[in-house]
Amino acid sequence: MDSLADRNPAGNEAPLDQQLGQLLARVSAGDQGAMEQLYRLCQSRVYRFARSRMNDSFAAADVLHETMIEVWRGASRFEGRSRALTWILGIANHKVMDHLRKQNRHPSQELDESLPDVESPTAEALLEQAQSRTRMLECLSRLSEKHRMVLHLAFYQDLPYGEIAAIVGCPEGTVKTRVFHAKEALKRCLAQKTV
Amino acid sequence: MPGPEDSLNDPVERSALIAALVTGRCTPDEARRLQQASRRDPQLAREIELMELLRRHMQIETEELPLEWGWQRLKRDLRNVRESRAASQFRWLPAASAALLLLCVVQGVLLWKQEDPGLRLLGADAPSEHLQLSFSLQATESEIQALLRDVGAEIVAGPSSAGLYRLRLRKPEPTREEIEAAIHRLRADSAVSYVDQEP
Repeated sequence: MDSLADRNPAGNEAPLDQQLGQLLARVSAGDQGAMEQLYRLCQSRVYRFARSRMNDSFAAADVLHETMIEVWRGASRFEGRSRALTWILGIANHKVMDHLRKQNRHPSQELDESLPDVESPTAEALLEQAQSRTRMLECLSRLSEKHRMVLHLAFYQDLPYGEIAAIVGCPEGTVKTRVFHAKEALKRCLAQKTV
Repeated sequence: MPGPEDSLNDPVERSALIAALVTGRCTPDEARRLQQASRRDPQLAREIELMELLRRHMQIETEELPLEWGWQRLKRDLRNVRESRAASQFRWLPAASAALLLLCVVQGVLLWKQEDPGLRLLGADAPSEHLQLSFSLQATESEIQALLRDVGAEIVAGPSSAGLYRLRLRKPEPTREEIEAAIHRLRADSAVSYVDQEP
């Protein structure tokens, strides 16, 4: 197993957040060059966050655009109480909600409730399925929007539960439970082809 | 707060601990305990492996975003936002100008009153025959018309951005007493919120 120091993504986030915080301060003064840097640093994270929730790359690109406009408009509102990335993803979260509402998709639809309970496969069989990226992503796409979101924030954005709670607007305990159920649903999906 | 062993026995806490481990957020002590436990518990070891796979798959980025196009589009829209923001920033200007005008008027009146200790001779320095006035928000049009008729005055200009009207007494060349009597009468009326002689 790798040592923790070797795989501590938090170590890379501190400079990113510091950079974003400084850029936000310049953006609030109308510095377009700073906005461009901020866009280049964040666009992938914001886009993928939106995509993870909406399963729609066109809508996700719109969310990215709208989020960045809002960052430009409201950068002076960032007071540094949360991490800069958390603040930006919080804006993206609201934009996603707006899109989902317009599409009459209820944000908390439990799509993965339909995943059937299957006989517990062996751990080895699950792991074998999980080796395939295509299979894993297919199962992720079958999860409910809120389960996809917490897994994305925890394992793609590498955010701690407290930060996820701030973005989603729920207690940290809820995030914890949601990640647990999301993982269980993911396992159920992976198990489907293994039995 | 659950202790380290409770964390491993409770499925939700255990899941949170595994997430912290695979994303490198465990304390060294938690990580060591979890790794020791995983050597004793193959189920836990598989669970950790599964979450590591999940993270690895999620971290791979195969989709290239059209970064340059996205930025160009954003840049165009930022300009529009800036222009509309600039326009909205100056929306306060008319109101501020009106407030400044009102302040000048009030200051002027005060200065004039300071210079005039009330001992001025009748007929000296012919005063302006114009009055400045604003009506209260509750005043109706009929009340205003009745009042102006009663006072013998008419509106000659207004309203300004600050809601000020310029009034003139109908009587040609009114005396100071007549002007002061009109001001007194207007001040006594609830339809009027402010009235004074124009400097």
